Amino acid sequence: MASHGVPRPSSSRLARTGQARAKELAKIEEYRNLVALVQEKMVEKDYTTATLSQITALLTLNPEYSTIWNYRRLILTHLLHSPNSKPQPLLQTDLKFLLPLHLTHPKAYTLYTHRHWLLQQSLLLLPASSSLPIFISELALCSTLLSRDPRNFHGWGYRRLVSEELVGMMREKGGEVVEAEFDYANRMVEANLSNFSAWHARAAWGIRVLDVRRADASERLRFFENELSLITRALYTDPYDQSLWFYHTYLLLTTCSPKSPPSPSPSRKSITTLTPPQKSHYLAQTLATLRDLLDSGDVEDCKWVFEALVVYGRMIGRVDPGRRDGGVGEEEVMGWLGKLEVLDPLRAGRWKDWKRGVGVLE
Amino acid sequence: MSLVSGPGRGGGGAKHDLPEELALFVDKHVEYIQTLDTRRDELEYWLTEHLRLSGLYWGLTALHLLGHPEALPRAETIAFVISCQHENGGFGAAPGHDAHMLYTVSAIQILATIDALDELDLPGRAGKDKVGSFIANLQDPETGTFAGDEWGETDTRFLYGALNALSLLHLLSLIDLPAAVSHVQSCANFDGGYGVSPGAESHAGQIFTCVGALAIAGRLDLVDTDRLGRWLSERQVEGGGLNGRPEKLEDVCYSWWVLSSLAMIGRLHWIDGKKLEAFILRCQDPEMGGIADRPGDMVDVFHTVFGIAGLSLLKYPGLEEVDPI
Repeated sequence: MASHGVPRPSSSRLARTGQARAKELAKIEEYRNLVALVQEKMVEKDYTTATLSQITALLTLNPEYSTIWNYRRLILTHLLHSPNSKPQPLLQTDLKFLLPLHLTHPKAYTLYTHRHWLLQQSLLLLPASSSLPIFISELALCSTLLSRDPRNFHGWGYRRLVSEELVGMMREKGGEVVEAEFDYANRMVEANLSNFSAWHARAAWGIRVLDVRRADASERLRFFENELSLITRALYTDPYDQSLWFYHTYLLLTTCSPKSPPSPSPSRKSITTLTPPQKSHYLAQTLATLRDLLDSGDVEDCKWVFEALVVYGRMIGRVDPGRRDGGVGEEEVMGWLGKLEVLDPLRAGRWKDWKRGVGVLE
Repeated sequence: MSLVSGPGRGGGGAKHDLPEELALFVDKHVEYIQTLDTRRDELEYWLTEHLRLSGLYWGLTALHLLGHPEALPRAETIAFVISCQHENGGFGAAPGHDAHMLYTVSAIQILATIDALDELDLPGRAGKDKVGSFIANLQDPETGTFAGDEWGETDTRFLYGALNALSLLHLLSLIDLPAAVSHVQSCANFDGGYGVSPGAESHAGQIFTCVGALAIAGRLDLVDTDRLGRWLSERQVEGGGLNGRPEKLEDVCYSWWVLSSLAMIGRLHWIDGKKLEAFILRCQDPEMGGIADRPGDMVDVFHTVFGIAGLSLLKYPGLEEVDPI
């Protein structure tokens, strides 16, 4: 259906030879017979291991067939609750069955849904001492999937789901999971600065880590300074990478904006609460860094630097209107906006709005 | 009836006022969509049966936008939709497939498009109320979110689908709308975008579902328009196409997810529409019809409808106007 990145064959290649056609028709027949057989077994309520293996064969041919996954869960439910049932091997065998399918179909929703269902069953049917190791090994699986594709949306999402559940399962030791996930996000960032998924995770777990550590105001401020200096160094490494700028914006907007805090919205959760003079201090420091980056000479065509100058240049005057140095003048801001129009014509409409003071980040 | 399958095989000529490389091959796309259901000798046809009803919705919508609403037979369309319905009111992807939110939404959208929602209330059928309660029962009373079916997978896609279908059925009163709205809010991220669930990374597709849900609920005031507008406008890459997340490849389907979200928050002018238009047109299969994810790739009906819908939002001449929600 939704084919992504599959090259279009030429029309001559589409005209299949007689032999290829016969082969495809035979495959269709085999597949449809298997579907019919499984459906028949389900109508007969033949919830046995024999039906389960036919379902295994069918799902191996087509892992996105969601109704067949439902059938699988019906049978497993039956088997898990029958007398003399051995839930642990049943659940683990099914988790193993999924492994090769994840590798061939890394974006199939059905596989993650089924995995998650198996985990829920382990919580219901196994003692905590047995379900806990299953959850922990799931994180290892996520690491494997994310090492193959560090941006896999499903892999990151599933990892978050499992680790959130682990936080609850570990009770008073749940904080260790939060710390470990924050570390994992950091390692992924270090491995590749362009990984926005990892920056996202770093932001999300970073806030949680501070809560787990019961960090006081000074620890929070230290954490913020640490993040700011880290992202600043990263910007010097690759000022053209938008992932870095989004994280930079996150740090400054949630702490230094005249609007922050308080805000109930999760989109504006911040690491620390700053006073107006502190906001002014960090904005001034940031502006100095950005000017320095520009003076370094080789980023004159980097629109991100100018965007940041505009945002924080405007913001500093609003945070601290009485600055002795007078902040940043409107003329200079307009100059940067002019640069943006030249460097980034795709978004000319945004720069035009920003010139009128409409839609500027705050 | 299927409209989900592999490459196009249209034919015939088409005349255009625009230069050839920039023209929309309307006739070829119509023919491509019309022939999708005749491809039962392809394995792909059978492997995609679990998407049938959505495929029909995508094809039908594309035809309506192309100004050829009659290109699929109305009675057959209705009969196929009804054949997918279960006693509980929900719809499966095809006969024999379990009921699920996604296909129930597609069914309602198809019937609404061809002005046939009353078919649901004919004697012997489940009735609109039962469809409404199938959807409403999938809401989690605690968090406000929606599951796809009884097996419990939750996703902001299902929440949007529920609100979309219930609003078409005038049955939004069946659910706890404020709870759904607050769930969407809990999925908001620092970049102004939204994810699959609270804490999940922003993704253009999920942004469409969350902003769309807020639009239906009349709560667009909750969107962080400036941050989201910035993030969405940065989806446009040099070639004119849009990607779904930072540093990813452009893809025609985001012409819809990103563009409609920008339209809903009043920031459509924050990207270069002309360049996007040219990118979508380059993704057409000029010989056999249909639109692909990127130029030269295999076409499918999913990218075909979202490419055409994108062009419609960009006011491409000759297309019917699409509602961004």
